[in-house]
Amino acid sequence: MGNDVIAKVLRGHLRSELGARSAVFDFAEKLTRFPETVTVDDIVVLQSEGLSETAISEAILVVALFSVITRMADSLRFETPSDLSTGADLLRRFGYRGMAGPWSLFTSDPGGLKTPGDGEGNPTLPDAMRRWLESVASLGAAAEASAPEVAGPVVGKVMCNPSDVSELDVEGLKSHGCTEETVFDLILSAAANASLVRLKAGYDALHRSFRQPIIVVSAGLEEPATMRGLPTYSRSIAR
Amino acid sequence: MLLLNLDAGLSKFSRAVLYGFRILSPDAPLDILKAFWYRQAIFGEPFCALADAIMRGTPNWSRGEKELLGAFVSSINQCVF
Repeated sequence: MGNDVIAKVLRGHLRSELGARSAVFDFAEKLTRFPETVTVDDIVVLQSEGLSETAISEAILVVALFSVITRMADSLRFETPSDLSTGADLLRRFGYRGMAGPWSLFTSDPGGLKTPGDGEGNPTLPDAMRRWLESVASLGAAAEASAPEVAGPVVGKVMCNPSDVSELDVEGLKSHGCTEETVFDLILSAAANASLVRLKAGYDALHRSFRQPIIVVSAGLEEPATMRGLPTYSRSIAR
Repeated sequence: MLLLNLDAGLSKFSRAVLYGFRILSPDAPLDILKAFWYRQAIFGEPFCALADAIMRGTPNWSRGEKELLGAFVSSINQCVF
């Protein structure tokens, strides 16, 4: 089944499930495809559908989260499982935390889709966001220090057309002294950067609309912290 | 076929766990686990903790609604995850 079909089915399903709140899907699509075009007007539309500041903020976070993983999957050519329900079972059994490392499969609380604290807000979010941004910053710094000029176009592909990243790109990076690990870090750094572009675009519009700093993650999201340590070439793409 | 040979960077234990998965559940999306584990400290752990925090159900969006929104975003990005 083509992805456009999946998108259509999901959209139809969600329209009927969510009613007026399904406006969030148009917003998510715009933020995913054309983050630079997101403005206060988009937020106003969501507000007029009854979505609160927190609700919109959460939707932005989901968009940002999935734009990392899709870029890793497309640029590294993750094998597509023939039966998607197995992945869902994995998630249900181990939760996201359980997938962090081989040991965590055995040690993490198998809360799965129903995690403790469900429905009570996100107490762990600010801390988790801070840690992720620190990781991204160190990745960016490492990639910038070790990657040669050829890295620029690869970063651009990961950010904009991840499935265009090819073996030739990897070979090119390796011939300039990159190890596999550096290539991985570079791709991850670019994927994270594409996600931060969306996070920032969404939050900028949201801030302007509500005229005050946003709750959950604002601690880690002042601009310098977000962009610090990311490779300069990706920083210019981000602009 | 993965673009990078992530297996080479995994510990013996990680590879054993993946092997077990492949036997028990051939359709499991193992490449994503490999990527998390390849750079566990800098990717797997912080990213999965963030995913866990973001995808938690709240009064605004249930866990399922968030997963659907995520699936929708992925489908726009031409990806099944």
